[in-house]
Amino acid sequence: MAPLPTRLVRFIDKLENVAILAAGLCLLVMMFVVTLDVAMRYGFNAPLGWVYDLVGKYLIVAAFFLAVSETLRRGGHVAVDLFRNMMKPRVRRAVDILGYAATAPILLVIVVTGIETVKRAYVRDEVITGVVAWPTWPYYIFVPIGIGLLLLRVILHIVDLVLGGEGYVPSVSGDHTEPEGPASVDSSGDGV
Amino acid sequence: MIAIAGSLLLVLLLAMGLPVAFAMAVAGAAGLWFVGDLGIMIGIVKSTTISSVASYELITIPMFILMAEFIIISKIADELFDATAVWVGRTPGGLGVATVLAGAFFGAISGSSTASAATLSSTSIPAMMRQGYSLRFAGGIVATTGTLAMLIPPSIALILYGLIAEVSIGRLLIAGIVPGLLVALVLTLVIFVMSLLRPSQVPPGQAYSIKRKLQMLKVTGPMLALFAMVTGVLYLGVATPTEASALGAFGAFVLSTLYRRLTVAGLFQAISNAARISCMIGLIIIGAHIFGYFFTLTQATQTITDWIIGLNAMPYMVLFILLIIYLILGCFLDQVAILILTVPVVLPIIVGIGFDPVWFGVVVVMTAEIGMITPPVGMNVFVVSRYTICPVHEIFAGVLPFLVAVLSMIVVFAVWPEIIMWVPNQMAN
Repeated sequence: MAPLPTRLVRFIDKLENVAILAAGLCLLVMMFVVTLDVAMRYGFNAPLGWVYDLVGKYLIVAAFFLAVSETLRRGGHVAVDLFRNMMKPRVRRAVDILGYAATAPILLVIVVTGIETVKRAYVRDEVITGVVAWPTWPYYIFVPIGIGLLLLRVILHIVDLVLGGEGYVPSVSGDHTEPEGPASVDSSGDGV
Repeated sequence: MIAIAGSLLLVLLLAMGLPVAFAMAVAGAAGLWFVGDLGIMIGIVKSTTISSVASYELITIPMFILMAEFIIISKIADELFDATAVWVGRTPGGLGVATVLAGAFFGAISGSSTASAATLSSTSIPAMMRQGYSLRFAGGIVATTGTLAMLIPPSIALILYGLIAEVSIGRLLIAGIVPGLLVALVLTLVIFVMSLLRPSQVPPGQAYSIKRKLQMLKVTGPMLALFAMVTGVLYLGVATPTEASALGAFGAFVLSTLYRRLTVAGLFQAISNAARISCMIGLIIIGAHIFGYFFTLTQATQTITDWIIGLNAMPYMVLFILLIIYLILGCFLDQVAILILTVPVVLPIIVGIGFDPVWFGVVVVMTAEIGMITPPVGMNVFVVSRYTICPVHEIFAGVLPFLVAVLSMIVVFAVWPEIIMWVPNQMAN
């Protein structure tokens, strides 16, 4: 069915699987580190100064950008489905191609400027203005990585739709869940 | 004029079914290019992308979601309904009341409306059906009860409102408690009344021994403790909301380990789910910032605010119209999107005509939440309908009496703001 080479599709899927797991692990580390910080402050009166920057810059940025692409693959980004459900399949396909094609250049802008930012920070040895002078590029770098992956997914989706396939993003957002358990419903795009 | 064109483009993109975040980014970028030039557009897209996300306060959202995921894994939530059913005992409409209470509890730890509705669907509806409740009524209770999650802390919607409006998140979360409990109370009243009017559809509960009740306390105890810890820490100002959220997640993690319900696969699922929902919200924030820049550049926000304040209309009239708009928006759009899109424009108006931003946060979240239980896209109703294999319109019909109750509570909170503001005003700053 899919006119695109399945090896390429699977490769991107794999990259996303690794990325989402890394994103999740960042959240887990965040949880432990902040808890430890509070414990140190109240228990030993010795707060850890570096937690604020580690969590508020490196971990949150990594967790966020590494997750965006896999979330799109699962239809986890909320959208208004009401009107698309009324559209004929052909109209829906056209509308999808149009919408995602308009999104791709913006993602491209983010990726290109993101790479430039990383390069500049690396060359100039930029450091954060925090307790510890960590370099900035290791958190800037998650922008081009994450959004780059997202861009790949979007391009894959557009090309497949144009070639007559079903695309690589679920047609209806937040409605991909099966009634198998509460945990799965929670993962639906709705979120709140 | 350009602001209107940009907004129309946004509406069009949204109607096309493009993810909300993408729709806002595209409309915003197009507008920026038009108002300014390509360079300005690229500059703003570049800088907002990372600055929107690199924030210590923002981690409150993933941490509270992680807490909910661990609670779901530990399966305490499933036992919660049984526990409350035993405690409520033989009150008229006992099981219905138990559902509302369990929902309030579950909302307290999950902050997620649909997760709450889903969990309750699988536990309380079968029990209610066995006792002879009509499916329509049982479904209505569960769908409406799910919405309590948005008021009782930690509420993701209130945190988000706090981040956008730059209002104290701690105060907001605390402000949600009293209205949340009052709405729960009113829902139970509706069940009482229904059980008197139609005893055939709403049978009385069953009595249980004291011993059984104490047994059940063991189930809810740890969760109550977790809730008390998070809320207490917030209320006393011992820790920041960010720290409270991480402590809550850690507490839930420990509980799920103690109950021996945490597997490696489950852990991976929990953290990935939390990452997905957080990045969904984060991506919308980025899109909204891009669109927001465009909107600010056109001076639209200022113009609208000046115009409305210049009307010298009665503040309550303005509020009334705004809330009606929120009710309509809630029927089509996700709450996260509603809050992010509207609050930057609406808040200056609200503050300008003399309302309190914390109070408005609670009222607006409640109002936008109504969309979860009304046609055409009431997510809670769809969740319940999917679990019960009951037609959607039946559940919508069942929701109706509760909907009226919740709407009247919004009116009450609008007329007497002190009900919401009293507790947060007692907080230590």
